[in-house]
Amino acid sequence: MIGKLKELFSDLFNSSENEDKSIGIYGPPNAGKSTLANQISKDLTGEEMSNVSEVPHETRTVEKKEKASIEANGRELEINLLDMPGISTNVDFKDFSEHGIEEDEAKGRAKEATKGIVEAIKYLDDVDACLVIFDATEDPYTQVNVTIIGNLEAKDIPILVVANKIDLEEAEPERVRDAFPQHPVVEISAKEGQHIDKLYEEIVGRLS
Amino acid sequence: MPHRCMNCGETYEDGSDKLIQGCDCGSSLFVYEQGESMSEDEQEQVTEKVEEMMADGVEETGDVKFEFDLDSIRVENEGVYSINVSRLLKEIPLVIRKTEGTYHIHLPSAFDPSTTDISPSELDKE
Repeated sequence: MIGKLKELFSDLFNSSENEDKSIGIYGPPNAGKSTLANQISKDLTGEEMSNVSEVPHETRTVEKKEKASIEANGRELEINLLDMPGISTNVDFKDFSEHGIEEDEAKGRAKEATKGIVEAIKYLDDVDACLVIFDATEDPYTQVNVTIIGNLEAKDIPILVVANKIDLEEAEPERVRDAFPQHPVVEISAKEGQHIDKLYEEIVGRLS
Repeated sequence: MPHRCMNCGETYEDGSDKLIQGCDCGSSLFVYEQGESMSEDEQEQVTEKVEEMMADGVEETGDVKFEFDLDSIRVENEGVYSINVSRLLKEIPLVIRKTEGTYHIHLPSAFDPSTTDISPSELDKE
């Protein structure tokens, strides 16, 4: 499977050598997508790209950073980075109001988050590869996670699985590896910037 | 043969390595199939019950529940939504269920499945 993925990445690169690669960051809410997007964007362009918050569904529209250049192992790759709204099967305004957000605003946010999930899924048609990020302190084997991975596989979109939050004591990144053994897994802490260089190596190694 | 691949339909026995490694087609989604089938009498009883429920417009009784995989988004209440991620991933029109038996068909996506921009009012409870 990994060999097949490498082939896919290689084919992708060879077929459109001069085009930028669009990389979508997918995953459930609060997995750390925006923290990772900011970390990558800051590294590559010096600017952050998304708001980060404890409140779920903080990213409710697709955030883009275009023409960021990754360098690793002496190779360079130009990418468009897309930070996606978190995909979930339920959106409840109470998830917002319990963080102190007024009821009317919370209901508005719930609507935006629902639209955001539809938008994130639509964008799958426009990405060349996906970073699928999971919170390593949570059970990775949820219906949403399995559905996301299964459908990316069905659409033949190359995937790099990211087990995030390894700086936390309760993190068990091996559970992510066990849940998705058919995909390469990089263990990181987006917040602390741990192993981000390994992530770049994997991205550049597979996309160029 | 209780585990059926949701992508290609290949079936695997309990404990098969493929359930962990993924199917030969690359998918790792499996659905568990009940081994024992119902007797003819039982089937007749269920058919009758389902027909009654459909005639009465009921979706759930004590022991039978209909699960229609029709709606992409269900408005459970104002600001509370259930999202059918699997359905959204298919290129089919968006269907928003407002209340039991009331569906809003998102016409732009019906004509062009890649057009999925929904307006906020389409997510209002009716």
